[in-house]
Amino acid sequence: MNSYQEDLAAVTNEILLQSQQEINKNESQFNASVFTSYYTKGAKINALENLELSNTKIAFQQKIKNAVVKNSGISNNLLNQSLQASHQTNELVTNSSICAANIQMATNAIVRLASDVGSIFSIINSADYGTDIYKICEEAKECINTTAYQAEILSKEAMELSFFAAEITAISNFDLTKKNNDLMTNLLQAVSSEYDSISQKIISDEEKVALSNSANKTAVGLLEANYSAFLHSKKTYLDHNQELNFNLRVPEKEISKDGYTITFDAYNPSFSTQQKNKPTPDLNLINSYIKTYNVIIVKEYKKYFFSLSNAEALLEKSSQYKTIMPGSELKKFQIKIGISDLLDSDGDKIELGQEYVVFLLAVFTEDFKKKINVFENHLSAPSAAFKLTYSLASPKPENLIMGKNQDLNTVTFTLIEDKKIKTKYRCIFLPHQKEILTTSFSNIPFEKMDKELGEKANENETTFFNLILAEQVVAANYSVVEIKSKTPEESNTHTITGEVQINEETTDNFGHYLIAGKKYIPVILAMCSNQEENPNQFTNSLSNYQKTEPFIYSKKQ
Amino acid sequence: MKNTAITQIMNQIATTEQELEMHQAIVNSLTQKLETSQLFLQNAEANKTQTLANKNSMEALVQSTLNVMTNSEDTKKEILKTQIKATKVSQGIKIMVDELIFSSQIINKLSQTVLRKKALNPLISDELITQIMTATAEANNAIALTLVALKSAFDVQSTVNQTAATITLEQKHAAELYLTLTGTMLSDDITTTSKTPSSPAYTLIEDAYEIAILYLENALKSNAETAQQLNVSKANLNKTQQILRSLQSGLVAAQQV
Repeated sequence: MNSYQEDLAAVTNEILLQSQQEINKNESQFNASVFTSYYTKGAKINALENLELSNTKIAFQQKIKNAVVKNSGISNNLLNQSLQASHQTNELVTNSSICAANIQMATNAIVRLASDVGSIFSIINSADYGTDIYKICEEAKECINTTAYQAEILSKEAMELSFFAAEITAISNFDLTKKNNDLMTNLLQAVSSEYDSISQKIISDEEKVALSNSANKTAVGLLEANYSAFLHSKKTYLDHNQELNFNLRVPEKEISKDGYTITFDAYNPSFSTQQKNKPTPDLNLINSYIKTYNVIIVKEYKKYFFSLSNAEALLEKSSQYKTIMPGSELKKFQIKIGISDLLDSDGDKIELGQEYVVFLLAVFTEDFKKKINVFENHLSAPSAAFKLTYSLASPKPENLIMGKNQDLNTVTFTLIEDKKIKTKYRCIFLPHQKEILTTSFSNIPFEKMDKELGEKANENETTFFNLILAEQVVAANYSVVEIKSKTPEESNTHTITGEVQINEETTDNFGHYLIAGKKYIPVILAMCSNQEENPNQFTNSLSNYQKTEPFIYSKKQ
Repeated sequence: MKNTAITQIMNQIATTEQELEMHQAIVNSLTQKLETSQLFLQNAEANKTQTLANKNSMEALVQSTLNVMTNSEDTKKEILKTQIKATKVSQGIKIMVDELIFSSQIINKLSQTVLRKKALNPLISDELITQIMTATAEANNAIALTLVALKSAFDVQSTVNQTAATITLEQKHAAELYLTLTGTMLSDDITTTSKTPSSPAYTLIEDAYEIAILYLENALKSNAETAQQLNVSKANLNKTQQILRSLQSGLVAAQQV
């Protein structure tokens, strides 16, 4: 019983577990702040779009107001004319009736005169006072009769004139015009007050832009801090793992659906040759500490129950562990294992989507065991968990094209797909940031951070939009890709052509409608669509939006 | 064995708590987004109401203006008819005055001739003399009255001309108003100098309403989407909370065994 080694192993386990939990905590905090910053960015874009909308609205409202003001001017003129016409018509009616009356009176006098002349003519005619008087009288009678006839007609005309004047509707017209002008005035007031309220709204919109801007800045600051904490906890774990646990790792870059690679460092002797000025009790033993290294794959959830005795018992079952012989010079070991090369500790096949850990069992040489008088081997702490997944394919930016067949609102892409895996594709439209935003994520030194980490984080994951965010975009905010054609390629692959139509309902990733004249970037998300399969065995894939050419959206005519 | 089981549960609790934190962040963001979207929706609704009110006012105004225009066209026809009649009366009265004066002169001449003959020939009846004196007086009276009528007839003509000018102008303004409101030329004899406006007020206000409707539809859709996103996220949050609770009670149970 080697309680010293056991104690060390227990402490090692604890330290590694703690630092792994720290990574998990920081990673989820980081992810949470990615979401927060994503949504604050959405709010900011929205606020800017609203301001822009208000500016467009006020320009339009100005047009309306101008038009109505112009109309109102004409309406005022109309009202004035109408009032004057009404007064003048009144006067006309009075004058006409006076005129008719006067003509009537004159006519009466003329008719009376004609009748008198008629009587005179009768007397002269019967008495025959000589042709002289008779002739004059006859002439007078003819003239005055004609005049009287003329007067009768004129009197009738004057009467008609008076009726005509009375029939003129200018007065009722004035009432209409007045009501019309009241309507006009009300409309002008409504339109003007609307204009004023939009002016007010622009001021508040500008405030909102400023607020959302600062909220976004705060969120981005938090994101940076959380990202940095995440990186540091990751680094801490790697350091701890290196010092305490053989640097036992399954690098993510080497994981595929077909297999994985395990790396670890050689067991460090207690008194290493590297520690130069220290006494080395028995140098002859150094190269023969270790008889064999054995790697064992254990299901993640069983790692707490996996003990040295379990491991030693497994050495009887050759299909459940891999042995690596220690070379005298080798300091680092690397073993590539195919998915079906090795069973796990339960004797099960390695499955896609299942999380596993690796244990390293170092079997000591008999000599060494005798030397320290301990006859147990050494079992490492579990490695960080890993899983094998099938990575789906997403289109390369150069194969993602806008505007096929002159139809600018069509996204088309091609890619090579595995026939066996049912894959669905979603198209998400990202607002092109530089188009509307003055500050972009490029201000954040993510690239530098990525280089430091070198492993898990790739470009897409840490920038503004990533796979996690893409998977969270709800159904309303992405378009489903229609597969237009499938061309067989090799035995188990084919080339597919996918197409997405942009229509009035299409929104960006935040759920805002696409705005004509603005730039957007199409991003394709490939996801497994087979409901019966365990979705964990697939890694979804997002096309590289940073390298995709943005397009300008224009509404269909 | 017991300790490893407890460690495992604690580890799961830690993981679930982290998940919970993430879901909470999503729910918080979406709640905020929903508030914003509801505000936009309210604005869109208010905007729709206002633009609809404007549209209705405008339609009433256009209808009323059309009415005013039609009426002023009728009035214009009426005044023109009156004007023609007034001219006829003025011309008629002038002719009548001339005739009356001529007739009166002849009557005066008759009167003088008869009076001269009476001096030579007493047989000429006194009755005729009386009649002729009356007729002369009547003629003077008739001329006086006719001249008054002539004056009033020319007053009418002057008033009618003025009124006709005003009413013509009124009709022109009514047609101009209708044209600038609607961009439609209805009157044939329009003499207005206004050109057809490229975007008349009626069209602009109509457009404003159409835009408001579209905007409202978008706001409704965006609001519904956000509400849906929030529901999904809340469901996820609840699920994670439940998992956490059952893990926590599992832990208590494990510790008590």
